[in-house]
Amino acid sequence: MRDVTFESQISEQMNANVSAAQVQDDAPPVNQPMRYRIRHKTTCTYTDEIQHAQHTLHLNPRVLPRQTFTRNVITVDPPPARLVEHVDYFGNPITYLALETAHRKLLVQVDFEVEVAPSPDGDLASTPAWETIRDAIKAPGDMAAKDANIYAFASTMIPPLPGLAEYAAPSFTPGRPIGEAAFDLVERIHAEFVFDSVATTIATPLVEVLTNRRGVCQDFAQFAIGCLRGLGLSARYVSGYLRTVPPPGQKRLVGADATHAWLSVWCGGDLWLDFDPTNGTRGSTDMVTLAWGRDYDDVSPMRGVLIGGGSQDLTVEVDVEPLPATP
Amino acid sequence: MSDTFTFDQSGSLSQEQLSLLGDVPALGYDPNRGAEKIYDEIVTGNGHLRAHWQSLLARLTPLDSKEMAERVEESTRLLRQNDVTYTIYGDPQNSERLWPLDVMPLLIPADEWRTISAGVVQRARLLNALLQDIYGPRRMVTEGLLPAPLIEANAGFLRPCHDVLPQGGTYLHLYAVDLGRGADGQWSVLADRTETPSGAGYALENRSVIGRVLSDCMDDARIEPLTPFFNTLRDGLAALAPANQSGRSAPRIVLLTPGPYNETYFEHLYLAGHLGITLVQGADLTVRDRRVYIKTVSALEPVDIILRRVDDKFCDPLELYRDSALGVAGLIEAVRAGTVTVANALGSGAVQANAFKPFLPALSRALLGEALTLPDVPTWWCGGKSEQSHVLANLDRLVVRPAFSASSILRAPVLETSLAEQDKIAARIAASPSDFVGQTRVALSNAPVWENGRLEPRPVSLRVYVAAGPNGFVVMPGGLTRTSRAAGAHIVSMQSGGGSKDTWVLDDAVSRGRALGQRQSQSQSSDSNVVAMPEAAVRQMSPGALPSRVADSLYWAGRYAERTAAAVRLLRTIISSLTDPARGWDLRDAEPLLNLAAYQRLLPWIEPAEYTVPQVVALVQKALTDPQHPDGIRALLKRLVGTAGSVRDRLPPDCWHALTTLGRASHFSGYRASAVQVLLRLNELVTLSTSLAGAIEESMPRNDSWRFLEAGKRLERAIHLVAVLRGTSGVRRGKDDKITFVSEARQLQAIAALIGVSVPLGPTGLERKSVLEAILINGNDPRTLIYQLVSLNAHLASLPHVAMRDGATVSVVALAAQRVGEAMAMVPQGVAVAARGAQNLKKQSERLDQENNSIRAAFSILDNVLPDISNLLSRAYFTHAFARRA
Repeated sequence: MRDVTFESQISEQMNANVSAAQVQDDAPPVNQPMRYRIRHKTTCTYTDEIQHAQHTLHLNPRVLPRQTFTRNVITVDPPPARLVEHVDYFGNPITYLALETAHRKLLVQVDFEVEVAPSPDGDLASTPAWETIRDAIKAPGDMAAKDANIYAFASTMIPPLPGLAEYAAPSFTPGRPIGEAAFDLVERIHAEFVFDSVATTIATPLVEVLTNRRGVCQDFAQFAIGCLRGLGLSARYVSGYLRTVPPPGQKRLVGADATHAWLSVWCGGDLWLDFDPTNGTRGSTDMVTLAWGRDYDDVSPMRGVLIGGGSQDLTVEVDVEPLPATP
Repeated sequence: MSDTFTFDQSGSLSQEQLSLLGDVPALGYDPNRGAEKIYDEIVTGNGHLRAHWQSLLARLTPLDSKEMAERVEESTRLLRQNDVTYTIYGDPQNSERLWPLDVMPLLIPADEWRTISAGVVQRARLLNALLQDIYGPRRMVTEGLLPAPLIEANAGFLRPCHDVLPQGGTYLHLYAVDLGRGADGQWSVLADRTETPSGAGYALENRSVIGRVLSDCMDDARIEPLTPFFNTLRDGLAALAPANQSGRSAPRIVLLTPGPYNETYFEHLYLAGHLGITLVQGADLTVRDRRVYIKTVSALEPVDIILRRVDDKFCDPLELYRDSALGVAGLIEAVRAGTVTVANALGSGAVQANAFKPFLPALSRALLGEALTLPDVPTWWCGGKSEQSHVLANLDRLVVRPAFSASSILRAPVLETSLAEQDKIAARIAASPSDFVGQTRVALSNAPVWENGRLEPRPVSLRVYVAAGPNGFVVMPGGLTRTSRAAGAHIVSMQSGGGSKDTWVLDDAVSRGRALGQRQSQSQSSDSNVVAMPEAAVRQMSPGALPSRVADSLYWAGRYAERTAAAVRLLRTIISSLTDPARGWDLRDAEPLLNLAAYQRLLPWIEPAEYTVPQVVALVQKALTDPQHPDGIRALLKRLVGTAGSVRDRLPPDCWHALTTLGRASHFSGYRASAVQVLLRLNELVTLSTSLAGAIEESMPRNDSWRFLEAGKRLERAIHLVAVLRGTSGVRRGKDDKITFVSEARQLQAIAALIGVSVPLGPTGLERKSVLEAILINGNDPRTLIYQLVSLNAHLASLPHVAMRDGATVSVVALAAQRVGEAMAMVPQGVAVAARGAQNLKKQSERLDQENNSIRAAFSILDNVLPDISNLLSRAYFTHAFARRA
């Protein structure tokens, strides 16, 4: 008798095409200034015509003291009726897109060049004891601690689970510096969890990741964040890009890269330390930050509601090309 | 006689009056004083009747149980006739229940009301200012008056709404507070309702009913009227229309409902009607160019203000809960662009969380510079260390509740702490302390309800409403009083079987206990609008443009109503013919009708030789009563009521009443399985479906709503008539594919019996040509095919014209009308061909074959054309209503 209202999110399918980048274990991360040319191209094709569509994009990279952009272009085809730039609750650029002409194909491409400066992370052993940080979040005395509150509680995709704090406990011995403890946790996840791009989708609940100990970068990052929140600590979910190192003797393949995800842990004051549980590494200039939030849901690259369209097919091509150092 | 009463200043009755009124024990009311100290609304601690109740009870005295039973009966009938219902979630019947309303109102004296009213308005200002702060500068967090987790751990806080300041800074256009009176006689706040407060419409309906039932008791008690409050609400909304709109004189206001499955859907209908605004569902709205539009059958029309009954999170699938089918994608972007006002503002639910309670006194001083006058129930938020310890140490005395309950409406999940549960709760609090609060248990006051033929005490709570009018917040003088199911049960909820009461705010004269006679003479001379007048009980229909979804549902309601009517008529004809001794039919006589019933999947295919009449009666009974029968009467009625229910605001109350009566009539069981019982039930259903048709005919204005309903009905009837011809074609294909013939006389008899036409007898008995003419081309008979097509054509001509979406130049309506024209031309042609065939051929088999071929040739076009018209209508008016699976 009638069609039903249906809202689709292309981000879920997007995930199927975006497997987490995993660098070779033996390729040490660099932490010296780096320049990249990055292209992130998303193509949606629909079996039937789309009459009207609205999307929100988290594809415009976040401006940070450590990230300097020299060129930043977003291309949308067909041309949108509206393209509005906002800043979201977490400080990320977010783009509202309205397409009001009929189309069977949508292309969204972001091109930018960025220079990444080394992070001033310093020595993990000199970070405060983790209990001090936990108590500062509970009784925030300064603005930094208030900001940390944003990332300290359960969120849509990272619910509180009894096993999380339990898993984290061996790393968080009494009085241990938070940086050290967090890195230990991340290394354990790297060692004990299996990278498996078919085991999970973005809809896989955290409890399954906990039980099966398999997944991709999103799962590992969200799992680590859940562990930290279970202890009363604060951690952000970071989405971004990772420089990939081709196997020896092979050329870097254009468009074969992928988006990546890691976490950032609050260590007091303005100090947030990046850790990558997928690769068991600390933050480095191998990583370019796109956006951060409480979990994947806060920063999903593309989310849309469509009218019309039948079924859809989605491809994502990411290219992270290292450039020679700034002349 | 009552005008000789005088009351003493202390508020209790003099000895003389007690003898006239009866003292408290004589009321038969036991205030139920147990071990726990409980305030009684009607009786003082000394056992005296409170002053402000004396006038009402004097009127009701001596509480004659027969008279009271009459009043109860009257109120129940009014509620039923107005279809005042609500839905219980999780009810396997998923049935709407009649709204429970006690005949005894709750009375509140004027001086007491002044305190409540001032406190509630202050609270509305406070929570509105708090919303401005948490969605804006966060001064309260910076100044240390509000812990950050109250925002960050609060499931009701909507991050996309941060820094989106609503029109005029107004978050709370309609706000409600649940109040309870403790043992000390003081009112305190049990809960805030800032998201989508429900119940104001029920309060109005309660007044409408009780105002009638107790009209003889109200005429000398001055009771504040409720209607002005709703005018204030509407004016306040209209004043907030965003600027720079397209130059229309009046802003367009809509009420956004989650739809008929929501527990308070009745109220949405009632409020939309009372406020004179359009009732819409999420699918009726769309965002284009950062503006909200309503999708109507003629065009997209801009919307300025949305009074929403959809919860915060479900309002925008693009930026909030993505699986919501109840909201409008892009709504937040439209709010950001300042093109629409949403009431309450998106995100308003954040501050109804219990966790805010302990911080409100300090927030009031900081945000308003005032001391908070209405106290909250003492509450401890476990996110604080010492508060957590206090709650854990007092688990036996405290009620533990979720700190951030995003759910609104009448349900509050409560964890009552029994001994066995305490350890479990302690563990949950320890694991996630900021998610819980501890609260002092309130022993709610008792008020009398009329039950079991006497007054009985029940715990009550009072929901008070505040509207943001053009000149500030205004309180509804009254409210929704809710009662617990049983004495001593201190959780008040409609979901768990509670009841409701009308709430009378008395004016000063009454509360001071002035003599009735004096007041009567006063009220005679004074302006009559001071005295409460019963609210208009007749629900008004939703005005405004016709949304496509609504047009679609009306069209299908028309089709289902006709389909149901045709089905009950067919079954009735089968039963009455087969079981009428005077007629003496056997199964072979009824075969054309049985074939038709089989064609419509009401009955299985029936070989007359293999069945007995009682077996067929049993099959008919099954089609009539079996709820599992996929195409039976119950299923048809369910589809009809469901479809019509989603557009109830467009149907006059008489139509809806006829419809629900018809729907309920199918719910019967437990009678003797006999032919006569089946016949009686079918007769009843035929009568009821006829009265539905009559109600539509007599009460619906001839607008587009009516046209879609009618178009559906006419098209369905045309399709049915073609099926009659097909089902009674005289040819029967047996199980072995063997073709046998039904005698022409039988066939014609059966058709005539079904259609109910009297056909002139020709020289050889009933002539086929006459029968065909009678049911096909007699333009004066509303049962004929040609009549359906002519009507359909007229309706199409009057509907708004829309061009085809794919840019073709021919309008869809013109195309549909053309198809109807083709169909009309086919009808007399078909009859002529069929009649000619009958004359020329001798051998029965050849003749019937020829006839059937002719009829088929004539009506095969109709077979195609009629569904075509339906599809064209759908393309023209309905399809753009729906977002499709992508």
